[in-house]
Amino acid sequence: MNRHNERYSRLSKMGSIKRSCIFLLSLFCLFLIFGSFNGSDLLGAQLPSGRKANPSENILLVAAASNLRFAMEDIVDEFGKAFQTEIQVAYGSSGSFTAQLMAGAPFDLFFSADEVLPRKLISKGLALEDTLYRYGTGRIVLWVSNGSAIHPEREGMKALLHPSVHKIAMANPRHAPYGAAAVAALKNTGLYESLRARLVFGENISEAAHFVRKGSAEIGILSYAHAVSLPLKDDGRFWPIPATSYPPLNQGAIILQQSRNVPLSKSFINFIIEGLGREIMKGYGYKTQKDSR
Amino acid sequence: MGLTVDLKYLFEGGNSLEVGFALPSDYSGITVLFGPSGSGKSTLLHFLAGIKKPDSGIIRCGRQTWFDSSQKENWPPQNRSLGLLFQEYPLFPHLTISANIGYGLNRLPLPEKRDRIRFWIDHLHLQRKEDRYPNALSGGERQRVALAQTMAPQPDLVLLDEPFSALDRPMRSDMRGVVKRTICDTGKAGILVTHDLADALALGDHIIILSEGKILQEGSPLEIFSRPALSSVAKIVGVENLHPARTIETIDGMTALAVGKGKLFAVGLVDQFAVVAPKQECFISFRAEEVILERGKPRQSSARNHLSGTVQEIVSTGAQIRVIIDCGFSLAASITKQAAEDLSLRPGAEITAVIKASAIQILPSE
Amino acid sequence: MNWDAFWLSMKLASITSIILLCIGLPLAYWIARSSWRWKFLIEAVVALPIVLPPTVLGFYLLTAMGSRSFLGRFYQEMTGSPLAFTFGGLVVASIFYSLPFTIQPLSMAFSAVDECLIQNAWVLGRSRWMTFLTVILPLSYRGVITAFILSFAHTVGEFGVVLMVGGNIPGITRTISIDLYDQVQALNDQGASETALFLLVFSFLFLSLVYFIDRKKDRKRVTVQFD
Repeated sequence: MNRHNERYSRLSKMGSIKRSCIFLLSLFCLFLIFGSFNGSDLLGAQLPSGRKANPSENILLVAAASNLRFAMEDIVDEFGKAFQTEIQVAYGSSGSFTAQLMAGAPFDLFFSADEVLPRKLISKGLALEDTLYRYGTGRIVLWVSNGSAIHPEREGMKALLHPSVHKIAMANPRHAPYGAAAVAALKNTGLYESLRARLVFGENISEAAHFVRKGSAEIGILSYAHAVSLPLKDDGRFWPIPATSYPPLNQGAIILQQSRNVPLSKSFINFIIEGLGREIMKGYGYKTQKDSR
Repeated sequence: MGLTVDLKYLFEGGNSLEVGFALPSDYSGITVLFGPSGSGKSTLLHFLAGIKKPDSGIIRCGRQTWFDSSQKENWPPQNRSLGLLFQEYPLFPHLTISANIGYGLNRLPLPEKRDRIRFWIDHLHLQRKEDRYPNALSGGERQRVALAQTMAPQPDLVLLDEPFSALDRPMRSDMRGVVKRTICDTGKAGILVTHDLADALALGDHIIILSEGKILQEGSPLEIFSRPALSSVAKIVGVENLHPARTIETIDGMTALAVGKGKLFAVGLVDQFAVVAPKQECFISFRAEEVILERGKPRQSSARNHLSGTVQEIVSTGAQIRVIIDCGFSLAASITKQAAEDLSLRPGAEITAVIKASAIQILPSE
Repeated sequence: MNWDAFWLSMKLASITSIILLCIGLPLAYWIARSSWRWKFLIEAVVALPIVLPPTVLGFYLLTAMGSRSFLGRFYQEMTGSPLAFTFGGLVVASIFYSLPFTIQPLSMAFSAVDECLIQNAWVLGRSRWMTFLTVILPLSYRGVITAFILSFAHTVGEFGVVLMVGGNIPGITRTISIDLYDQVQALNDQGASETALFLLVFSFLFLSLVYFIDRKKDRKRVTVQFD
């Protein structure tokens, strides 16, 4: 009898703990939901409507190829200081951005990793006028981590033949321009057939960089911009592959038709191809030129 | 409340159910659908309840037409104002006993609902269990709760699907009484499905015998079990010796019964009632294996029943031989081949059948 | 640690899970109880998001919601703003993406409810709807909780679909898992590890809490028989 009572009281105590937990949990959910209704409506397009409210607002939404990440962060800082604006950048694969732009993604500017995709968007009438700004030409490098016995800076492409090289990391040539350039460079130097079995592909350059940094691959063919940025800058050594051994990695930018602040978009592009941004691009290994097209 | 049923249904395995019967409009009491398992009787109940849909036919209850395939009429179970006591007593495990009993009373105002629940709890002796959950109850208690749940909404027609099959024997006879009283006291009509002969005889006011999807016979218990249909019913039941009887007297727990022109003694504790009243109509049953055959005059033995008769028929059923003996009534005995040879049995031979009183079961018919 | 992204994920996951429960309860009930002969086709369609790679699913959802598709344009005309690349678009995409994780546990729980109990409720005069509310739902309580947890967790962890449909726009469609991916892409190891650790700890606590609530509900039912 006593035992039963004990058990009952224990159970009811447990019940009260549980009840308070359920209470907390529902409070949490309510908080989240009502929090979300606060200010803006749930299904209304928060971004476009937010901007609609302030059409002249100095905000640019930029879609940029992943390889631009390091240079772009500096550029955005500098531009923001100079023009008192806010620029929000989304990084990703140029292919995905193209698909998203075709579906109406609300970006003002698109900095692609190549020129093919911007042209495609222009031909679909999604970009402003018939303009394509070549804001930079990327470069690829051989990169090894600090402790490596391989010395690309002395041996050049031959470093790939070093006996300790089991795996060579690069971006996937099927859809990443930097990967395609890496394969072209290998073919050009006649190394492709012999090294083919050792290639490992990352989804993009960052992933390829991970492979080398974490030791899964001994050497990587990465972008110049990655090699001179943290953390790769401190972690290893690199050798730029001569630009003659692969087709130029020309990168194009476009202003999109739906951009709500065309003048600001234009000044941002000008800042990169003519202004201070150009110096930053150069610092990250991009070749630049003055004219578009 | 009259009931007209005429239904056809084809089972997936190819068996068919084809049933027609009618209960008169002033009818109350319990109708038993009696048959072996697989005869389609449970399915028939589900058709009546509206849980399953027959292929074609008609179900009329009073002035309402519940099902009519030609009119595409098929009332949902909710509208049929009937109660169904399921074989498995599906009590709601997440509800207390009182909530279970009150589940069908949602349309009543709260005080009335509370009174009704209280009534059934008292009526079926479920006091102190109201706040328990079904898992904490014994089989008999669960059965009583299920009965209360079914009866509480006061349905016009109560269907009972093998309600006692999950209970052990003593509990069973107890519950038979409870069910019988509950239904008859309220003046409702009930339809009970069973394959247990004792259920049928104890509860049935009207019996319908169902086998392989067809009605073999219907009538009052006495009619059914005293006529030619007896043999097929006995076959269905698996009891070879089933006879209408009348009690003569009960002394010291021993009951004397008149069976046909003969007289038998049985241990007088009937399933349901402690003592059998004299001159009461009832049935007796015993298995053919329980009968011992002796040649010549009755001898002294511990068995109470010594019946003289003549062999009428000898049927070989493999290792066993079935002997039909006329001893005031037609008695079947089952003996081995060897024994039959030793006794040199042949039709017309004089023989004594010996049966222990305790082997005879008395089935009351009310 | 990007708190905006974290709260965005929480908001997305709770709204998605609640909407999914609203859609999932009737749909799962139908799947569990219907005897329609083509039901298996619907079941297969519901399970499809498990098969499709999230990015691919995201691509199709994007195409469907985009301003060039009929649906996208219809929505834009009705509401005046496009659906893709908004929080609303994320909710819609997440609903598709997590649908099987709501439906499966629910329909499993619903079909586990004894047929007899349901029929009993019907015979006792309760409508199908009331039977669902008073019998099926309480008895499927664990399934409902599991469905909620799974869809919530699945939405927090969703990445490919959100990236495609949302476009990684900070503050609007950049959820915590995209933010984490972004940090990994930026080779920001420390930031990524912090975010990942936080996400793991949070999810662990959240799931433990929910499973704690769900724990051993049967014990409450065992009362003493002979007292």
